[in-house]
Amino acid sequence: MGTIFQKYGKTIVLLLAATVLTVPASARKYADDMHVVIDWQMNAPLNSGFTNGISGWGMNFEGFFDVTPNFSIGAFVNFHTNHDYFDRQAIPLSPTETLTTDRQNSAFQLPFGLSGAVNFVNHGRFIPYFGVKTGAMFARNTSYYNVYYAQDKSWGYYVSPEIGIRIYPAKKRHFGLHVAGFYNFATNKSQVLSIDIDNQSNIGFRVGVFF
Amino acid sequence: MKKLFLFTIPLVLLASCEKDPDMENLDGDLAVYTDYAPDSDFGSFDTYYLPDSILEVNGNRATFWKDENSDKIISEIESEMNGKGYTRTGDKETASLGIQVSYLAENNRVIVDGGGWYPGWWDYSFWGPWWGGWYYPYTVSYTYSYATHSLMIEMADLQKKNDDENKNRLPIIWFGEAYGFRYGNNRYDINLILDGIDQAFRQSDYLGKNK
Repeated sequence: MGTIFQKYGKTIVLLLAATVLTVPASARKYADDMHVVIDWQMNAPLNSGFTNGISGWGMNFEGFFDVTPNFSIGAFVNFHTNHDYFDRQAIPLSPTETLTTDRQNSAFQLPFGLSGAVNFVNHGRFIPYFGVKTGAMFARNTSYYNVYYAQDKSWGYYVSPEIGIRIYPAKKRHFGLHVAGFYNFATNKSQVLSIDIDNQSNIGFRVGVFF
Repeated sequence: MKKLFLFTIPLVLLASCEKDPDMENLDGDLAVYTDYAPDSDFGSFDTYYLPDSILEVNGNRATFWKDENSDKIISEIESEMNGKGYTRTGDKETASLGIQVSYLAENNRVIVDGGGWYPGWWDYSFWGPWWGGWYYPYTVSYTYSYATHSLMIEMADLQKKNDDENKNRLPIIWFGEAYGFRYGNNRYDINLILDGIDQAFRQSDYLGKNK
């Protein structure tokens, strides 16, 4: 051991010094290429028959890495809740069963997975992009009535194209604003009371910040 | 590192940001459920026997409820049955339908882990202006309770006496139930039950002597 150090000691010291000096530079480069997005989102279910109202009870979180100046990949997770109140009505639960009640339906969606985006331009303060998110979605649909509830949980495949813009208000690109419109589709299937939910899709938009 | 920290924020938010629906929208009327035997010919019955008291389900032993409130319920059922074209008879042996009415009241106790706090709970400032809050230095659970009740009406086919096919079992060919939150105000609760009885017969349009 002592012999090796005596023989290559100078080289080892130089390599260690070079590593110490260059690692922070690489780390800074990685840090500049990595971004975190935090969005508030508005969401409207499409043809679900379960909840139809638009709501702003959701958020989107995303981390992405600039592979090239025009292309980034990352991971995301977002969640959203939509509610809809239905007046008292007779609901056929089966050919012979009927339930009459009013109810408050609540749809909770939690998709997560991978994301990719292509920038239309890579310079200037406005960077428009087209992105796709894909992964899995957990859905929990609940119908509350009187002091009871009926609930179904499901998993499905999730895909969501989106178009958006990243805005850098300052010259140094450490911080920016994010606006995006999206459509999503998930293969989740549920049944709550008499309503069959076969695939779920939504449209909406997000507004947020990124670092 | 800072960005990594930012990306962990959503995991914390995810656990807390699902929006609960507004239960104040629910009308508080009882839910009404009905079901029936699809092979029954409800038009083939003409008379029914209806006892003058209601069976109260009380755990191990049943008791019978007979007072002015139970009389209102029995009268309501009689009125609905007569409205369907059936005739009440005092002779159990010759009646073609038997109506049995049961009532179940329950107190539901819910235990919530993690320390208790109710809106309007003791204010820490009661103990002096120098206190800035309060906490449990150990894990506790708190409980809350709510009352529910249920009125069940069952219609038995008494024509199938000595029927080997049924092995002398009494076939219940129609079931109606009004159930939900019990407010503790007798008059209000009874009115909700009466409304529930009306609804049970209204949503069972297949019932009737001339059907």
